[in-house]
Amino acid sequence: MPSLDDRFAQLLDAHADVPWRIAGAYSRTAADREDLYQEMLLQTWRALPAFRGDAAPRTWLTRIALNVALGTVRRRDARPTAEAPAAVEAAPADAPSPADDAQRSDALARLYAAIRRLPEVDRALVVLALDETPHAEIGDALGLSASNVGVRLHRAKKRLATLLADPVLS
Amino acid sequence: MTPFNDLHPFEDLQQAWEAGDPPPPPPADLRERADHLDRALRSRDRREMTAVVAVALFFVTIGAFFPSVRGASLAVVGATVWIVGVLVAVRRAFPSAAPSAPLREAVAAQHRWLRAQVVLLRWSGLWYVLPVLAALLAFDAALGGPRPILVLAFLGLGVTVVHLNWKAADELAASRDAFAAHIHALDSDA
Repeated sequence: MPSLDDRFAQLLDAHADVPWRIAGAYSRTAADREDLYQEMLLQTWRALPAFRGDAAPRTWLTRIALNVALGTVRRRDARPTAEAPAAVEAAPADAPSPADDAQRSDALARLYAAIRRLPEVDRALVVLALDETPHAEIGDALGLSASNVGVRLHRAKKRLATLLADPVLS
Repeated sequence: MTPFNDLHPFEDLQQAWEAGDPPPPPPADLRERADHLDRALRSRDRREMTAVVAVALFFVTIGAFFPSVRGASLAVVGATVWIVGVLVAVRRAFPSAAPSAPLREAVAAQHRWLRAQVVLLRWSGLWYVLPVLAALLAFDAALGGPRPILVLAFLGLGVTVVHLNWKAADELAASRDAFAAHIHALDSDA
């Protein structure tokens, strides 16, 4: 049986993007995002010994990340900040060209900015949908039925479209 | 970025999402942080228990050696045990959800916990301050009181504690309402 360290490493190798993206959607600054991400990993580490595979690892990790995010976001929002927004970060090193890189970075920054202006539950729906998570898995993570997820997601997408069209984001 | 619509579908956003995010940072030393957190929690529990035992032992000893204040000492011990009992009962009655519980379940558990904390803080004058005040006044009376200056001091302390607890309750009530809104958002309009 693999050690806890090995299991944790395997989990992160496959699914580290899940908490990282959720942290991006629920943080106002890059430093907040990293703190929130590390807090999600800490809770995952603490919960891992009790994980018996009764849910898909990705869904299990999503639940932990969302629970941590919603549990801490209110505390964080009450804190004043002078730092740069979380999504204004460098694009990956393998981006095709500096121009594409900048455009992509800008597009992603606007997308994150719009997501962060959504109600907190809608943020979860949109982030999971952007990750192409099936409705059944979103429902499993949020505690909703798959059909319920479809209706809510439709509305959340409309809200996101409205926000993305807002010139304030430009 | 062009807002998505029929011409610019959600899939375009998914592409930007997939392509643009920087990689996550490596995890910090989680074993050490988890151990630190566990130690902090155990230390908090030990401190609370030590304080209760110290108060109880002190007043039991006083009561044993000074029969004139025995009743008052028992009142202080009784008040302490009552307060701890209330806190332990509330802690047990409103457990946290598992870290990996579905969001709806975790939010509901958090909401119940916050609601209970707000009620406790709002009613602290009754279950917390009043028993302690009664015990302290009984102690003062047993020692030849009541002395107006002490009574006023005790009352002032009680009012301050209630005031601080109300302020804390106001802050927690904001979080409680936020979690109620999450539950409403998860339960309605579908």
